[in-house]
Amino acid sequence: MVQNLFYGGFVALTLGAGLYVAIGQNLIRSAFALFFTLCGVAGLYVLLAGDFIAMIQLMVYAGGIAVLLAFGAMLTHKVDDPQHSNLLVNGFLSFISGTAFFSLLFYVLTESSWRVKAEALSEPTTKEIGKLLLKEYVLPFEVVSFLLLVAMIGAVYLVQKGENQTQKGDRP
Amino acid sequence: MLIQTMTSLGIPELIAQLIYALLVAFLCVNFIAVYAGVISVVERRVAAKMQSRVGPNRVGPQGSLQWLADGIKLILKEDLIPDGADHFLFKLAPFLMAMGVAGTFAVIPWGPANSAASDMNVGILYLISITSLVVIASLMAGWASNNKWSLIGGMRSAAMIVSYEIPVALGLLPAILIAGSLNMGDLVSAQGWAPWDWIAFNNPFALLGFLLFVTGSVAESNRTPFDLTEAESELVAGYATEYSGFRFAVYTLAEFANTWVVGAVCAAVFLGAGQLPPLLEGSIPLSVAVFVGKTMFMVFVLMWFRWTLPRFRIDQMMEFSWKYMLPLSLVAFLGQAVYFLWTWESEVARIMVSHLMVLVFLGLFFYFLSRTMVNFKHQAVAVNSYKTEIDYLERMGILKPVEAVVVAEEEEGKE
Repeated sequence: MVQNLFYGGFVALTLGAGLYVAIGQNLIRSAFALFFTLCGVAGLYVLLAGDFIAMIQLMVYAGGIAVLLAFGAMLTHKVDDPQHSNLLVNGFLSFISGTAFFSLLFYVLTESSWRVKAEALSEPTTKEIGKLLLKEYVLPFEVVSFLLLVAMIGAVYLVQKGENQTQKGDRP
Repeated sequence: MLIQTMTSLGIPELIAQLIYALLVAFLCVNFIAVYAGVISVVERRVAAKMQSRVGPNRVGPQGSLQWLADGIKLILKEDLIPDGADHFLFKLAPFLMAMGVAGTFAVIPWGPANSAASDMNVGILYLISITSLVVIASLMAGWASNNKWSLIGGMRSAAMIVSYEIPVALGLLPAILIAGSLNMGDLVSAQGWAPWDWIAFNNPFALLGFLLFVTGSVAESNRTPFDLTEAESELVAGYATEYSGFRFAVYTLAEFANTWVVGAVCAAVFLGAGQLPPLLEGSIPLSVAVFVGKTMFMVFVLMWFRWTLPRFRIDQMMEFSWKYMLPLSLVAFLGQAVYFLWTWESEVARIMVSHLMVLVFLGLFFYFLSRTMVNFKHQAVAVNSYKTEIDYLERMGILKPVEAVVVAEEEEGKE
């Protein structure tokens, strides 16, 4: 019963905040609402007995991505002005992309076999995750880390290039 | 234990757990409030001692009730919200700030192993991730205040916490490798009572991780020398500039409660927590006392940092994190792994290294003590009583006592 109560609370947090992200007029408030959506998702992971993934969700998404997005939103032009809010994106394009994404998610939802009830909440998952990552999925793991390294070096290169240009431009 | 008694009385287990959680949360929040109040007075007294002044000494014996006066004053103040502020976010930010700090108390042990409120399997990871929620609170406060100083303070705080979180998390990794678990109880029970059984002195890389953790935590809890977010001379009070009354008090409480969190994590993960020698094992009060003693020592070290080091510049601070602490934390992590492989077979090598570490540390400590002993000798006269440095000089015969006192007595006698 209590678990259902928590489930309801986390779902309400996720969906409510997510809805605000989508239809909110104020860009900054939307960015902060995204933070609560991500926290709610972390709570749902906890109820699914995925303790490690829940903590990573909190740390990476709520503590990192949401902050980055808030930074990004603050840097946008005329951030408080509803005239320039996110409602003015091309409706047709957003309809197509939204429908496509939803159908993809719906497909995953119906096709995969979900564990209906978490067997034991306190069963540790870290050991299993470690074994899987370093034994069975070691090649994908390395490929992903290599990709991330490439992306990071690329980002540093791009930033450095931009800095050099602005310095040259600043000189009279 | 409490849960078992409740279930035996016929209460369903989940509801019993909920009641237990609420009880613990109530206790922890009250502990935060009282601890933060008391430690604010203690910090001011320590600061005064370090700067040869008196400090708060009027409210209660030796100023010990000053925090009650401060609290009453803050609660009675008017709750101002600036005109152009985003009211909802402005009110929400202090809640998030308090949540981020109070949430950590779920996994902090209080002495013996398994004494944390929640014996979470991923306790230390939870601790790192829940403290990172403070970022969004400071950013929110900075933005919602509609004030340049607040915004810059919030931005600085977010940038600082995000960049110092990485060395902090990586600095904890050697300890996690040694204990082989993310559970707080396992981390505690992996250590013994003696210094050479502590994780901090296990090997040089663990000590490096410990130092990185302490430094990064000071930055994360926004204390000097890293208090760029509320640098008075530049930003008034950073993201808390526009806050007043109780909302401001929440920020201060969170900051002071953070010192306990940092100290307790240092004590639990690196300094042997409340582990007792075999003879005294099983005595819970003694274990708690040892743990609290270690924690308070770390809190004192944080105060020491605060009142002896000057503030960094913002570019120095970011450089320090990314150019020095991040590579060093990677060295600590990789070095710990290599050290493990190197001493995998020989228990003797590990014991020798840890004992050698303690010896070197003790040597350094006594060297430091011998260099600073002269200061203790000069402190023969208590600075914190009503006397001043001049009084000390008078006693040494360097200055003559002021004669005005004698004149005043004579005048009284005439009347």
